[in-house]
Amino acid sequence: MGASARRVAVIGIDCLTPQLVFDQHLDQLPFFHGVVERGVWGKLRSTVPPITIPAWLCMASSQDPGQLGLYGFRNRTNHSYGELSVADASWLRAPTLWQLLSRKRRRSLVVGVPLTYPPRPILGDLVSGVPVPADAEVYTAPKGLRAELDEIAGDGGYIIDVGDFRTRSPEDLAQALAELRENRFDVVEALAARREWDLLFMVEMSVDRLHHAFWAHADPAHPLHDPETPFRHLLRDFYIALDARIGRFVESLGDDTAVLVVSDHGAKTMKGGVRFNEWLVREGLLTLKARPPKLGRLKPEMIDWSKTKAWADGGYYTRVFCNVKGREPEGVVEDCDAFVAELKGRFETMAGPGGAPLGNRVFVPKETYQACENVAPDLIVYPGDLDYRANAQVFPDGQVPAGDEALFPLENDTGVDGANHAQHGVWCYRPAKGEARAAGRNLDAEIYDIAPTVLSLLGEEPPAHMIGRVLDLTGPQG
Amino acid sequence: MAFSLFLIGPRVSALAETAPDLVEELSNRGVAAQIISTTPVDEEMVKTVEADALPAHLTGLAKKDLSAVVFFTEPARAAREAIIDQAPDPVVVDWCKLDDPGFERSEGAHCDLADEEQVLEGFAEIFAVLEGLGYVPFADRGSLTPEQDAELVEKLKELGYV
Repeated sequence: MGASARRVAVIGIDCLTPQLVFDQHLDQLPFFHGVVERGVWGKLRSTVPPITIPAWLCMASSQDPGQLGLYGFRNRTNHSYGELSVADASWLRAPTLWQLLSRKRRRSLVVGVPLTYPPRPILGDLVSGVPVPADAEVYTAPKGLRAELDEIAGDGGYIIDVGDFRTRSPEDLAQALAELRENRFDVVEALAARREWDLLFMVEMSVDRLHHAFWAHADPAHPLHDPETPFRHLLRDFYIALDARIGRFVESLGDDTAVLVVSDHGAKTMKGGVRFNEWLVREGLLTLKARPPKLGRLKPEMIDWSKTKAWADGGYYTRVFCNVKGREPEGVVEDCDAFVAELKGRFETMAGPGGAPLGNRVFVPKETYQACENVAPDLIVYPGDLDYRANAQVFPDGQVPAGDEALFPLENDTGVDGANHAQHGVWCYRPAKGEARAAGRNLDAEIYDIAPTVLSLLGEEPPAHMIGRVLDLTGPQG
Repeated sequence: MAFSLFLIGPRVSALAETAPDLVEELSNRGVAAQIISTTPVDEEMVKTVEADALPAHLTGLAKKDLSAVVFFTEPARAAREAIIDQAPDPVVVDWCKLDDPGFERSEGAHCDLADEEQVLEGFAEIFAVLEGLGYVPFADRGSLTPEQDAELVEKLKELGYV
């Protein structure tokens, strides 16, 4: 593979979902419409689980969550019963695109990619993405870049993420999300013009927040949909504004830049929650020695470990951990593999509201990933194939309702949330000018394919450890 | 993957006293490395290799999956760049001072450190650069304080992730 002078820009939009881009609103999205006509596009199958962390770093490293040892925002650090720890950049053990390019003395501009805090120097510039602690003084490399971000952003400075997500009024939140979007693109567009780079890799978070907060307003089939809502068209209008901003940004990059627009996962209607720990109690697999004084989250100190075989944790999906003898401090499960197989079957046949099968999808990490670094969960469960989310609450003593009410709340335990993550996100490719590339080709891809494809576009050989393929960007007219 | 880390500057030999710590810290992070100086220094863990012989020596180390940390005191930029270009997986940390007439400032460095870095700060910056390039993992998994962890958990709950 010969060296190439071509630049590649990867524009990451967290949670950009294919059914809104390619189906419902395509005619109103000139940038995406142009790519569908003249580029290559399709669904992008995300990681298991399809969630911001680990998905973006799996994309940037072409390694699966097990190989990275990252199974979510929070992870067990050992087999004790303590609380999980929030992951940060120090957890990463595989090189990202920008690290590989730095080693080859090629420059990158990286802005907002999740799990890049605390920042470390690369050849180029890096602005950490979520999660970033509120008191972080340094979230850029080099350090002085932070002042430049604030200078570009103007009043209010650079915005890492939207604040007070659950407590703002809908009007205020919609405004804040639009500001987050524009702020991120303002900064990246200015830096892209000021810097020399071979790779630009940015991630923008507003669409994810938008979906969770406003999906029910836009989807008439959603259980919480209000036909009179003034926000019925907010998702459509936001996508139109985003498309315009992406189009303007891409135009500013010039014709010699190959552009990929990608998302880490999609979105879908969330019908409600599942209190998996209450279900495990009913199944006789989890015993509580104390319940919370009011409906609240399960905490390790509430569990009678000597009588517990499994417990669950999670948000948009569920991780199930087994209490294994010789592994956990008070483990009781003798044969972990046999119990995991039994438990998988029980989750798969779990009844949903009204008694119909809930339709959980269940993954065994040891079978799903190419390796299982750090402390992997024993099972990963998509509640109702992500039609539902996990709800961590358990009821107080003597107040556990009978029937469905105990297990299937309509709302998230942290407030109204209309969307869950979906397995497939978006990818599309706008060739640089003069490239003999496909015109209007639909090609479904995997999240692991993005990094080797970017390297190939830059004339670099993808390392052998990457598990994705180089996407064939030629087509009928290529 | 083995790397060749070049520490450039007229005073990099001051870092020689950290050689045992460098070797130990790299070892702790899974990296076997040899410490090299292009001028003799009074530290037995530092091997002296003349600048002209560096590329072949570093290539030999890389074949044995050994990384190298080189205190590189070659003053002429062109000569430095030629040697670095021949090294396997070079990483450059450049302490050259703009106002130092004996040293032309190196271009293309991965990281320009501040002119007044002290030895210990220099040691930390070396590892920050290697972490940034992914050649070594962070010293510990998890760099958040308990307070930061707790704050982020609340934020993640608010966003629905946990």
